[in-house]
Amino acid sequence: MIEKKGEFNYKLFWNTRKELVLAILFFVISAMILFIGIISQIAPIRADLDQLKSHQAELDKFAEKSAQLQQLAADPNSNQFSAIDEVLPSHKPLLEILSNLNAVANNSEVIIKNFSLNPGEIATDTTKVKKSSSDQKYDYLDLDFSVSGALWKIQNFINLIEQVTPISTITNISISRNIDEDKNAQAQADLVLRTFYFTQPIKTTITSPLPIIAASERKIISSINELSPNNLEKQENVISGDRGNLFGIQNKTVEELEQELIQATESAETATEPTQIEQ
Amino acid sequence: MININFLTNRVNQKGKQKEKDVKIFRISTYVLISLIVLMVAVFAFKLWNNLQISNTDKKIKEYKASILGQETTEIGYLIFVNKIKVISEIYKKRSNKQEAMNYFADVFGDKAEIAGMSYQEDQGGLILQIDSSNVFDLQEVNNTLDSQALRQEYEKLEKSVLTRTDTGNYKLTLKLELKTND
Repeated sequence: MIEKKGEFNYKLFWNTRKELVLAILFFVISAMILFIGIISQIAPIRADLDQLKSHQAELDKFAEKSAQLQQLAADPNSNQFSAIDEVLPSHKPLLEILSNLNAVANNSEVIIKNFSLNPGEIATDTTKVKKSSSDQKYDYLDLDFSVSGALWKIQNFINLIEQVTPISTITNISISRNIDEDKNAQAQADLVLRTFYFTQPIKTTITSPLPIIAASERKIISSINELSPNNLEKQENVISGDRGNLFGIQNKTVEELEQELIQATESAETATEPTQIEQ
Repeated sequence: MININFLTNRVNQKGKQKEKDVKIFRISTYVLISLIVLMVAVFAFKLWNNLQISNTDKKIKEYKASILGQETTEIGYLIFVNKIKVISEIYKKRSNKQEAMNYFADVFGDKAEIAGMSYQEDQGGLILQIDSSNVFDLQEVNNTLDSQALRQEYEKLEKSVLTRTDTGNYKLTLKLELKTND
């Protein structure tokens, strides 16, 4: 009996202090909820919010870029994108320069002399060429030549040559006239014409925003629209000089040519044999 | 002999204890319910966040596909913009040499002829050689060169060399600093 007195009577305690036991249990559960279900969720929720914010910013960027691209595709002026290639081509515009020079000289009635050009590798696709400096956005071809004619015609030539595409600038001018001997002496001009072409490699990523054309650059668009396009047709085949069949071997096989040669030598031999007999 | 009833005291004590326990139980219930509601709210918010993130990701994928579909337009535009920038740079380096040449070819009228002209872009100056047939014409040319109208157009004009030829003509060399479009 004495031993039993020391034992705690749980049943009695439950029956008499049920509310207190439940309250303690509820407090314990509340503490667990507070730590596990609420406090521990604060950091992940914060991370989620940050992630959502960054994704939203990314989405806004993509949405803006997509809208800009759609607007560009629907823009009626988008044909200017390809037209600019005539003004600043992505290849060495050797043929264009020669064509322009000829056309402008004819137009301004001057005579071109002493023509020299160092084009390097002709018709290289410059956008694929690795440049020594990545900052170099363009390169140029310098053409040294002389023109002769009346001074006003030379002035006209100098004016016109900078108004045709591809974009060119005269960098050196040296005009001389021997008016001591003749008042109406023709002028001779030594000129250096610099024609530019585009060499900048274009890089883009899906996330990079579209560049904006500044107001000063918009003025350039209107001024380049005033340039006269060169009338050089795109050549895709070798054009024959229309010199006819120079060797007379057109449409003949090798065997036929052999036969013809044998016959020709035989007839030549028979023609020489009687004369030898006669001797 | 005094009768002491301990049971009444005990019953009173028990009653007070019971009330206290009920009060604590009530508070604990409120706390638990509030925390459960809060936890549900936290999980709902987390779920909503995840849904938002997945929706955003879905939209990003759609936009990416749309942007990739318009790759040619983008490249065309990028080349266009970069070329415009290059042309703008080239235009800035250009000077008004033709304008100056045409101006000086006309400004002297029949008082002088242009005998020579020299221009180098890297030096930025135009050198003109003017030929006058006599000293009176040369005087007229000089007056024109010093005139307000010409000086307004070309501020940096230098008369450098004057020579007289065997035929009696006067040759005047002018150095002119040209403006670039910068």
